[in-house]
Amino acid sequence: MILFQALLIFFILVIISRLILRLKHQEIRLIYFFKWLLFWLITIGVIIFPEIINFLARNLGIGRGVDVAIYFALLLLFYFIFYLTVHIRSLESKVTKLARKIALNKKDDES
Amino acid sequence: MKTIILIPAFNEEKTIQKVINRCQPFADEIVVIDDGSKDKTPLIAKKNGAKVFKHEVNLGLGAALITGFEAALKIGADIVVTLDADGQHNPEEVPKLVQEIKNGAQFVVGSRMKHKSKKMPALRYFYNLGANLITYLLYGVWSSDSQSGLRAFSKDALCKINLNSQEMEVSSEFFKEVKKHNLVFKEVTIEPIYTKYSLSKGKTSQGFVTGLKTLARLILNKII
Repeated sequence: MILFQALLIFFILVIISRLILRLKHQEIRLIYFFKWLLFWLITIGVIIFPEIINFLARNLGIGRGVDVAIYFALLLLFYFIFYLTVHIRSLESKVTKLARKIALNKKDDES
Repeated sequence: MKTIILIPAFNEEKTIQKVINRCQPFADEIVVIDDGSKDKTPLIAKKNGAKVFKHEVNLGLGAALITGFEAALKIGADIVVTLDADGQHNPEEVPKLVQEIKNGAQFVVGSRMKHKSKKMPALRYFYNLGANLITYLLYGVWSSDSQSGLRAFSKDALCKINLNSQEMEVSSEFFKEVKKHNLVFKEVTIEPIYTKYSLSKGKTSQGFVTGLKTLARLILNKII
């Protein structure tokens, strides 16, 4: 195993330990915990056995295994940006509704 | 017919008193939506006889107007006129808009672009022209001044429209509702007023970057 692989795995293990801590403090739902755990375990698998993505690259006609990793990473990042945008807008809408309800229910002399 | 003037305000302690006092002869009631001001805007507004509804946090123009419409309907408005708190509208022009509603219009916009004077700064003119074009392309209704803050609504129009905008994009979203509900839409000419104060406020609230953000939010509203 080369140093770069070891460093990446160490980095991911730190992330997994944080993930476990968040679950312990009930800051993350169980379903999200398992989703992220699965994602990071697959990433460790790919780091230890890079032939997996080389195999994928050959079958997808992309060429190099590292290109497959970059394409998938980009795809995932864009998905997360979209997901977060929708999530933030939904939160924004909830805050607005709450502030509106408070504004309308408060008596004039309280404002 | 009960006419309510609705003034969304955010940190407008310098102008709110004058604006409210000038509005008083033209409305049965004045409603100020304080959008989370950090200064004395809500206190001054209340002292001067306005009914104040306060957002605990700053949410944006769209959110403030929607709260204002709900408040106005709650207190029995038949006609609601919206007007900016920075003094860039002459309240003496309110009756012209109200008259159009009484004549059967459901949504009236006070158009600064139709005024013959050249008081509007060139940059603002082109910004407004671009906004009119974008509004038309997105919602299919042409207005000569889609971004004007001086507007009037009939009660039935307010009961029909369903707005979701948070910030400045609300000005364009009105036209989506005009199209959707086939509202009777009119424009009246109003005088463009640009004071040093309103121009300095406009630099932050209506600058190029804000324009781009507004456009992005309009497109996002369209697709999400």
